[in-house]
Amino acid sequence: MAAHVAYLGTPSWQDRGWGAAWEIDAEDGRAAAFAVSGLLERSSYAAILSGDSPMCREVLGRLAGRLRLPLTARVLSARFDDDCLEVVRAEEEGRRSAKYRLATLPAVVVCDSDASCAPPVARGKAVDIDTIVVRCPNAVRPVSERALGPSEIALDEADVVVAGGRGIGQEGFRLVEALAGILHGAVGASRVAVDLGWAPRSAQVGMTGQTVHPRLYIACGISGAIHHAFGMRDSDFVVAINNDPAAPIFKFADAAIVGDAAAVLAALVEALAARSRPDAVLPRDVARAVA
Amino acid sequence: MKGVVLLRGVLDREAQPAKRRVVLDGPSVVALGQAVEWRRTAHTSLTGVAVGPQSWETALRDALALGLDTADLVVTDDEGEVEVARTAAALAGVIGLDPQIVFAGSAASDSGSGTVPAALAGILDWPLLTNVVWARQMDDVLQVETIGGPGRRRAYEIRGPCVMTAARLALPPLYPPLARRLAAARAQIGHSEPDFDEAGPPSRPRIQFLGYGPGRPRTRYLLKPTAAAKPGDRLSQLMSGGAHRSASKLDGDPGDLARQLATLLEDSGFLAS
Repeated sequence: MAAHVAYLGTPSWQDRGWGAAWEIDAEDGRAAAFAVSGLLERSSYAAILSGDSPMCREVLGRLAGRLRLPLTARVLSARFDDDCLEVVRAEEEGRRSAKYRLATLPAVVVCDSDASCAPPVARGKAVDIDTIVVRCPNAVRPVSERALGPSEIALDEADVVVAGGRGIGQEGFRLVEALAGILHGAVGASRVAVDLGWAPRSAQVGMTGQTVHPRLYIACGISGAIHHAFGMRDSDFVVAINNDPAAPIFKFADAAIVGDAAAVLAALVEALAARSRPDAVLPRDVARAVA
Repeated sequence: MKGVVLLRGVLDREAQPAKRRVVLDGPSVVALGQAVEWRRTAHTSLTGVAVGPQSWETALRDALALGLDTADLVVTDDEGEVEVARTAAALAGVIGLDPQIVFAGSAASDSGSGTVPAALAGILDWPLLTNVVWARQMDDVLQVETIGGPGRRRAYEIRGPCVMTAARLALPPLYPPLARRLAAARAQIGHSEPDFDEAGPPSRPRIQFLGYGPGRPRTRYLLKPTAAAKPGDRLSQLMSGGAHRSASKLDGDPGDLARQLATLLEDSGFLAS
């Protein structure tokens, strides 16, 4: 079937022969859904696909609701078969997949972030990507926005985690908090540090604490026992600072620094504070710890 | 303005097979917790709505014990999980009669797709706020805080009806007192048939289930420890999921090391925000 397929979102599959590809620049999902439904009225499409982002989910969800179109999400692959669209979608957090046939077209499909969707139409000439700018005077806009402090950020939502262990001592946790503050990250701790009362139980990373997968994980004075490594092994980039060159944490590190963790941390806080905000004055207790 | 919580039932797989029953799924409990907190400031009634089979009634009774005032079950033969538009249309038939504040979990009312609240908002033409951390009512203004990216929060003020999805954040556990549990066991649960309008989905399913397949492969399932390694090292390899990075170790003056590291972090964009 020579299906005409539209793709919505930031297109990463530009050469896959979409009938149309749109990038929506909108601050409000309601207005964006109106814009897309207007586009659909002008041409007929067999399927409308999108990537997996909160805005795409909202726009396609609203579209399916308004136009009463069949919608499936978390789709891993899709193909046309006898005027129907067959999709495989992830279920139960990816523990299993399920195959469905969408008998009524057009269908709305939100692809999974791991999708390798086979192009439902033959590869063709890359289409131009139309950027649709939607401005809506009645859009729901935030009245304010703020950055959370290190003590407020939950470990599982942090992009950066700075974790301390026995090697930095109780005073060293001031530096850990300061570094987390500079990097807009959360404070983590090893089990030993939590047992010693240097950090709250909610900050514990590891098998008996929380599992984290931030973009950056800085382990300061943590030996890296397997119970701790279990909770941070999926981090994108790991920096380990420890004075023991044989510490197991270095097996998990992308940047390994052998040295006194408290001293390196103090110098790092000072250097980063100067680079991020040259005119900033360190809090008195942190400045004392750095000194 | 009244509050509505979208609920979903799942089979409790942690219970013994003979004692298995339908309970609330995790996202529904988070949404319910947020709604109960919101009601403390709104001083209004809270209703739970679910679209599913009769067996979900036990989950609705749990929700009543946890703080709902009333509960409605829109009874469908299937679990209504595949047809998002169909589920949303059934919900809209119950909810859309009055302007209300709707709380949903990040995956409530559907099979984890997170699109039912958006479809519901599309049918009712109400605003949708996602990743909500908390909500409170100040007179006729609904104040909401949402996750606006890693380590960031956005505040909104809404007048009028609204659909919200709760963020996947841990809430303090809810322990209903025995009196509420007993009252919930005796409470009436409203039952209704799905009310699709004429433009709504046809009665026959437009999405047919064909069969289950394998899940996504995960590294830890594919990992085989090195046969020659000592037992302790093999255990370490298994527990680390095969993660092994070989960074060259740097040592020297702490100040120099810190400056190198600061440059690395700056170049990697971690100072930009």
